[in-house]
Amino acid sequence: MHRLLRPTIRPGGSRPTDDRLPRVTRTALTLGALALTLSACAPQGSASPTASASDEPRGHGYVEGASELPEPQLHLATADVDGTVELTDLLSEERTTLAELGPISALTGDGRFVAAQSEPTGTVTIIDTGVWTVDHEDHQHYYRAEARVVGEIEGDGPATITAGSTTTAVRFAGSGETLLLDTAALGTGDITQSGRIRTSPGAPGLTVPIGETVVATDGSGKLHLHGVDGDLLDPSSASVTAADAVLAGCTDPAGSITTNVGVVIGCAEGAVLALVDRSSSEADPVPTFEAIPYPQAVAADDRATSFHARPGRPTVAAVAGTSGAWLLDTRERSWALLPTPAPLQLVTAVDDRDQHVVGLTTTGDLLVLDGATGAVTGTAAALVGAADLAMGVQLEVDQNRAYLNTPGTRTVSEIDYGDAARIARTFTFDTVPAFLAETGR
Amino acid sequence: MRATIPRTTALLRTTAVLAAGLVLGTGLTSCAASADDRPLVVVTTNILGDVVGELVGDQAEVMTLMPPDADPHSFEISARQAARITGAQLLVSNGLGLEEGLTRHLETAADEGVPIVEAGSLVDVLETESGATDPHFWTDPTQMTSVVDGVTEALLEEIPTLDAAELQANAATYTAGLEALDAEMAEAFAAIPAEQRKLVTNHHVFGYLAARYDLQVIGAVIPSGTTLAAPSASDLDELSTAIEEAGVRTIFADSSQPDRLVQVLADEADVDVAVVPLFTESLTAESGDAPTYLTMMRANTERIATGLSP
Repeated sequence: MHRLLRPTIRPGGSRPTDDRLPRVTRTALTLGALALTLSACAPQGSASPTASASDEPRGHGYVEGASELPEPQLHLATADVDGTVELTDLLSEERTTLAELGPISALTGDGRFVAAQSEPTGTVTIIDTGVWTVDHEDHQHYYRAEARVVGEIEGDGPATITAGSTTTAVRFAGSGETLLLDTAALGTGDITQSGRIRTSPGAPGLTVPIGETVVATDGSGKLHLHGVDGDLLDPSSASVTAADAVLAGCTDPAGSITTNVGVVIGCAEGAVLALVDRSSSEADPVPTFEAIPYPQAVAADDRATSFHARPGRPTVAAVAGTSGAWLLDTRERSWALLPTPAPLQLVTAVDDRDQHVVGLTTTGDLLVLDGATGAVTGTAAALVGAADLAMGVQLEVDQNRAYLNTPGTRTVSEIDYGDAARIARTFTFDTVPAFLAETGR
Repeated sequence: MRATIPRTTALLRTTAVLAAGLVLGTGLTSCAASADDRPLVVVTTNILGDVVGELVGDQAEVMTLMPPDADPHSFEISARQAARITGAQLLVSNGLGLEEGLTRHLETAADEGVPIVEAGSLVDVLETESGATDPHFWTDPTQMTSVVDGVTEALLEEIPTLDAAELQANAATYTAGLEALDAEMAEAFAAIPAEQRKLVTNHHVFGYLAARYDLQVIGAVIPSGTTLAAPSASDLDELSTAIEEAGVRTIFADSSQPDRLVQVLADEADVDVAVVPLFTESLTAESGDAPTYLTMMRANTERIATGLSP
């Protein structure tokens, strides 16, 4: 009988350990940060002259040594296939090497953490790039701390990492297992597992943390609601029963993204939107679910299965087969199909005042679209070549600029989408930027 | 960052009894005072913490939850601080939705029977442009005199062991300080030509100040450092339009690259301005330019008056 490789967590390059790990800290790049925050006052009743970290006040996402700054601390995390992960400061253009990991197959980011995957060895390395934005809807906070390698997770097959406010899910397609990690602990340099969810190995699927719960597919492609400990929530509770009715209507779930409204899950029928009432202090943490059906019948090849957008905005974009782009406005609960002059390979929504949408065609042209009218407002022709497209490039957007990597020329282009796709800057690398993730957003 | 700064420094300024306290402003005095039997007053923001410290002097321990140089909307507190709140004789909060991160702790304290005085309930509340209540009343010192009156009353009512005469004397002294500040501010802003009393800024916290001293707040998007690295006219469009329409030579903004912002505005938008930061929602540490409410207000007044004067 084939024995599945159990996902395990280990810090840095040390030995594998059991999943109920004590809080192992990999202190790769930073020890100095701690010294900055020693309390001036000893805690009451303590003989120690230094307060422990847990006695310190914590800002949103606060970690020792983090400072709040007046504007986003935007960085590009790039990596080559040999696992050299670099961080480029978009303000100063300074570049630092974060890690030398060995062969990697993917790099994904959530605006702060990046996860580098090595498929051959079944490891995912989580790196804290030390820059992040906290969105309070009417205002933002921008933080900066030391970057560091948080640690490694072991699993089987390609991994999908989905970050939530409470929990970060790492799903391994090979084993069908998902590790649920404490997001706050990642911020303090620890990999702490709160639970795991097991589904059928090999089946496509997703695991999406939402508040204090996790929505996951089972082997048959249905959605279920779990706690952050991984256990299925009591199916007899009223809110779970109500949620089940909506979740049952989501066939063949694929693709998810978090907006400032809620969490989107792509379905054959359209999308399911999960909402958590943030103002509620109720003990029952179960989110509510709404179905947002497509406005028309959509062929399987044309449905949205991969969503991208600037973080913290309500409208998200997805490639619509060869027709163009889907825009899903999670605030209005509405879909719009945006035809494009050429089929898209990648698309993402900036969702700013001018409703910019940025896409890359299957022939390597970058397009800027007006999301309201579908008009092409800018084009950067032949920005990447066929070899780059075959390898898979990545497109990231923030409040002012878009970034696209071109491994063939060892460059990343900075595109001013508000100015007809003008190339504002071009960053050149010594290593091949095969993978790209923007952080500090 | 210091977790707790009991206000013994206030006492050193307002009474003659502890003339020997020469280490004013250092953490050492603060720590020595925290393990005592005095009543405990907990204050959420550091601006109100400073004011309450001036009122109670050495008669009570004032525990300020918000550290210096922090953001009142987003700071959170330790479990140890949370535990101490429920033992307070009085809790002073800003209210009006300012302390989003503390809501749960304040509710817990209220449930435990801790009396809470909300400063926002003592002032004449303004509305923001979007119709929400504006919690930044401290930018108008005359509003703070109402806060001083109300908090003093609450202290007398809830903590009978306090020396009423001393408390009232402190309140009178501080109110006189606020009135002097108000007069200084009125004089400084009155000297600015009426057509130039315009704050082009990315901070929406000066509504009360603007209403009191007849200034206009013009919100504007300040380009980020990334945008400034290789700008296009569209990046600067809103800001340069706001500056031109206001006809001012100073904008009030936090920017990590103020010099670059000035240069780009001159080069790309043909706008000649200075960029000056203001203190907005937090006091600084003792070593900064705004360690107390009064110094913060004077620093901002000086910067605004200098920036907008011909």
